[in-house]
Amino acid sequence: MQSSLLSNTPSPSLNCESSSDEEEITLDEICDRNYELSLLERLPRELVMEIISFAPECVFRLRLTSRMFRAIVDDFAYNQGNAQIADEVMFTSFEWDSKKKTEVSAVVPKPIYKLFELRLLISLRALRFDFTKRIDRSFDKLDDHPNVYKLNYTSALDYGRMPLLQCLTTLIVSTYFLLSLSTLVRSLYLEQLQVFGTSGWSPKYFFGTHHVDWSATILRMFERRRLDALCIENPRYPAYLTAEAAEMLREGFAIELQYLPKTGKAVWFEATCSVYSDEGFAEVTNGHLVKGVTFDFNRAGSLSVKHFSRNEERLSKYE
Amino acid sequence: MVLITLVSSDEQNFPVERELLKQSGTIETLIVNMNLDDEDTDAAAMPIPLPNVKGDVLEKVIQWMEHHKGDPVKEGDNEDNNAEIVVPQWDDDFFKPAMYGSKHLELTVAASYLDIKNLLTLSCKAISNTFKGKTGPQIREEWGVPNEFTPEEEEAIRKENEWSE
Repeated sequence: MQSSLLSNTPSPSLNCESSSDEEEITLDEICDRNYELSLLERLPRELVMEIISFAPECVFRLRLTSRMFRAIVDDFAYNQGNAQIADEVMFTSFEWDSKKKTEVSAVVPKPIYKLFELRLLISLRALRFDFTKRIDRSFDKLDDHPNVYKLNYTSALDYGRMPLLQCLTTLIVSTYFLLSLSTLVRSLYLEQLQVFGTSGWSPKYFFGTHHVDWSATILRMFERRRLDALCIENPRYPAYLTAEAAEMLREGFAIELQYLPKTGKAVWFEATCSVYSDEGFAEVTNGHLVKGVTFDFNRAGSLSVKHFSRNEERLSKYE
Repeated sequence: MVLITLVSSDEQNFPVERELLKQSGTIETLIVNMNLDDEDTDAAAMPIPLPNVKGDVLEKVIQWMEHHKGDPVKEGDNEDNNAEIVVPQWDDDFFKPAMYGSKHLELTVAASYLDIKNLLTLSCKAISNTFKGKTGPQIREEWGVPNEFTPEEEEAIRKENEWSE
């Protein structure tokens, strides 16, 4: 009977770090020892994930049942969860005592807060970030009231003098966060608010950084499983999307490279930018209407790529 | 009433009402591919083999489908909040005798293979309910999962989990 429960599909490899001795065990290695596994562990991996999705409050306790479960639970928390993980996430940058600080806050519904905390634990552990003392958690005793998490971190005085490592960490946190979000949600609306008091002001500012090639990040976001609609509103810092980045999104630099109309999805993308200030354009590529719009007094310039079937869709922070 | 015969891996025959089988995406596809719905086809003479499901499990699946005859069939990805799904009393009683054992797990695998989404959802939910309010070692004991952690390893995981306790 036991063999009938075994999954024939090879499990993808997963780095499962042991906190004690940094030993790495992969799911495949665990599966190789399947003669020792219980019936529950012999269920196909996708079914175990399905079961975990029904008990998000138990994820920490399930990590203590077996190596196999720990690896699958961590993978589920990190990559696979379908459910909405946070109601609201906000990034705020400000200066305090001559130091640039960033605060990330997340509002998380009670039923899934354990899953959120495990994802946070795994994500920040991977960045070697000592988070436990840095995250402020507000629990409301009422079941239908969400938990609020706040994480503060300090950047350097200005980006010109910022140590490379710190700069890199900031970039990883930002882009990594967006990529993670893209595995969870179908649509994202990102609005960059005005940042006051930054000594290193630059028209390239977006999402806490000045130095990111956003075309690569945006394309990688659309490569993720779920995201197919993205709206970026950043009229205050219009140079965040460079001409090269806009062209890369629109038509790629080389034929083998992916670009927005050729992601294999019916894409809905709109981003404010100053690239097409002088002259707009409109063209059709692979079933997508691609438009560069000049700015006028009423609206910022923009680049949009919208599949014909989604041309009438609207995406805003109010939806 | 049109009957279609399902054949389990141990070659037991189960004549089943055509209407019931609409709950199974896998069988529905086979029926279409084998033209069993055509008036000219003698459905009784064309049994559907299910080599991945044993007779005793198939019997339970049919029993479940009979009770849920007429329920709306789920389609596409499950977009519900799984944490909020409740197992109805009848289904809870249906799963209970097999709980913590191979039968329930085989039923879950069969629901997945036969693509019976409602049965799969409720079965997985029933399994997940057994985890609730229990510690890792308690879950281990109830489901017969051998403890393979070294004391140091277990302590390290506990320490990691501590932040969320």
